[in-house]
Amino acid sequence: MKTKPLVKITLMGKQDEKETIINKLHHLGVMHISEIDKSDFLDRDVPGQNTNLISDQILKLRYIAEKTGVKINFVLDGLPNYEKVLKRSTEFLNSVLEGVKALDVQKKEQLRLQKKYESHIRILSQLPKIYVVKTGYNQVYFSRKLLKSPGSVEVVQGKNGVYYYASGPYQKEDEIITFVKNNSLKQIDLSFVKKDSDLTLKESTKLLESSIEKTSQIDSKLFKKINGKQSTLKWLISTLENYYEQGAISQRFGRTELFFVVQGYGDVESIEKIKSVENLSMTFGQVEEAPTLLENKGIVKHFEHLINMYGVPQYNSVDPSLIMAIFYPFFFGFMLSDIGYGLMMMVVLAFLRWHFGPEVKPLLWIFGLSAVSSIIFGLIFGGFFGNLVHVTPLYKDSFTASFEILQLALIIGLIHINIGVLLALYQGHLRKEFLPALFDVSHLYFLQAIIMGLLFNQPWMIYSSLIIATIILLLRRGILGLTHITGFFGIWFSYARLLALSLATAGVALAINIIADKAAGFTLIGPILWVTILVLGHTFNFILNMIACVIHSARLHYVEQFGLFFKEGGTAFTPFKIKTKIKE
Amino acid sequence: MELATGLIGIGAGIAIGFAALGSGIGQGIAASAAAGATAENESLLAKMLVFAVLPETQAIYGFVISILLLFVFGQ
Repeated sequence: MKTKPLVKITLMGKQDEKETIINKLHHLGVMHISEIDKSDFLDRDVPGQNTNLISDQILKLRYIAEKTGVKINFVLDGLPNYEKVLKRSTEFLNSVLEGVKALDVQKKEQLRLQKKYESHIRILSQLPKIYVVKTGYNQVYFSRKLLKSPGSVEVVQGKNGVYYYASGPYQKEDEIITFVKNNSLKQIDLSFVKKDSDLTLKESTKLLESSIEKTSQIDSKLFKKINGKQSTLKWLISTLENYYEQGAISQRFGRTELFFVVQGYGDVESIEKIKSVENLSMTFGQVEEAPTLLENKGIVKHFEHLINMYGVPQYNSVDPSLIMAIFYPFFFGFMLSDIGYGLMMMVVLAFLRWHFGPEVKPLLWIFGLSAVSSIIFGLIFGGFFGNLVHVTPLYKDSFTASFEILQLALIIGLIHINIGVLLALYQGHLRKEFLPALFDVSHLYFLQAIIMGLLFNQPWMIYSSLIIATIILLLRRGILGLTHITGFFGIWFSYARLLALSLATAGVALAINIIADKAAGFTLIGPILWVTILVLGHTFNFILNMIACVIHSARLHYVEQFGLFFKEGGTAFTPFKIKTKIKE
Repeated sequence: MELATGLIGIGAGIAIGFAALGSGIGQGIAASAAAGATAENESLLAKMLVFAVLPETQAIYGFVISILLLFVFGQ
């Protein structure tokens, strides 16, 4: 329920052993390396000597990958010897790069031509047929009579509106262009038309087809260049990117003439591992500020994504992943509360698992649990695509028991808020500020006492609680603190959305079923209409309410609960380790 | 149906109707600003989603009032 305690680690080694030590730390992958603290005794270290060379090779390899359409999805099973990788990379680039570059130039030229021909075809297919006559005096005329411009203007009806052909001798070109501009006309360049526009259109079409064919041939050649070598390319990029990281990390180090110094953070277990690195001296100690490492296991780990979406919690503060793992699916299920939609969610998740593989595991757990919760609440409130399939509710349906369910939603809200209050106190304890934390939230207990007073009709309880809460707020937050009284009731009533969204799901589903039943009365097409309306309608309702439930379940945590205790603004713990999974 | 029952029904309708209208207008303003912010910085998505749905709470208040009208005074 709290971020993992870390220690600040300082390492020192000899400059001439730096590369070996960095390599070992990279393989251990347990330390978050931070920027070295400013010191009068240390200079900032520089990147490793081969970093520029590696960076250059990565750029060239990525260029080849981009031009040959190779996607860099790769799983690296270890970091091989650097010299071996660099040698293979150089050989690879020598054998492939120049060929790819030459083909790329040809392809770019073909694509340029295609754009030109497409533009000609687009212009000509909109215009009526025109003729261009070139005379021996280098003059261009259209075939028809010229009218009132420095040259001539002719009005013709084209496919997309009226066109004006302005034409004349070359000597008058500037005057004609001015005339076109003065008359707010858009100028279309027709200089590419040779003699007959229909003929030019045919030629352009033919040239375009030929260029597309050539491009396809170039693509085949590009594929042949890389065919059978894709794995090598992916392997080289993945490996070199890890070596680049090794080279670039030393920019965070401090240095003297003979030594280098590394500062960073790790957990207690990491200390023993780092001790195993030879020729490295280490000191470590407790700190108040460090990067944030959440240490949840199993299903709860997947809910860390929802926390990080909102913000990384500060070091040594509460980690609400467990609360999120319990209440997110619970709220989601309460709001969707339909067996049919829960099953639909399961089908969608099964498809996602099949299509994207294990990468979507966190998504599957978060929404899989939400789907199960929806089915359970569907059984409680008796919803199966609204009332399409009759299910006897274990409790009562949302429509007949709206008021009871509203009361239930508000009780759940109070429980959720009070968990937030307890977490605020726990946060105070963690930060050794328990009393201020208690003072910060104590008004909430008196405000809840007002609710009890109203419930049991005890005026003394209402008034005394209100007076105490007001005094606490005035002392702690000043006059503006009084807004927390209405603020608390606002937050509490916000949990009424649990019922509101449940009713919305059931209400729309009910309306779809009624429309489908009415449509079923038509002869012949009735059954088809019935099925179509049900499928389209329930898919629409499912998507609409899925989005609403995703957002509102998160919102009840982010706004109503996190506001009580969550301290964001932490830096995520990112260990310096080999990237084995490279994915674009 | 008694006059009072009818008036309670109308009152419940007005409560949720106007609350939803105001909430919708507010949500439109907030969501368009949130969409702009998210377009500039994708990492703000979660916070902007929250901002976008914040004005919906006013509709929930209207909803609570109409439920109270129907089920407490309407019974």
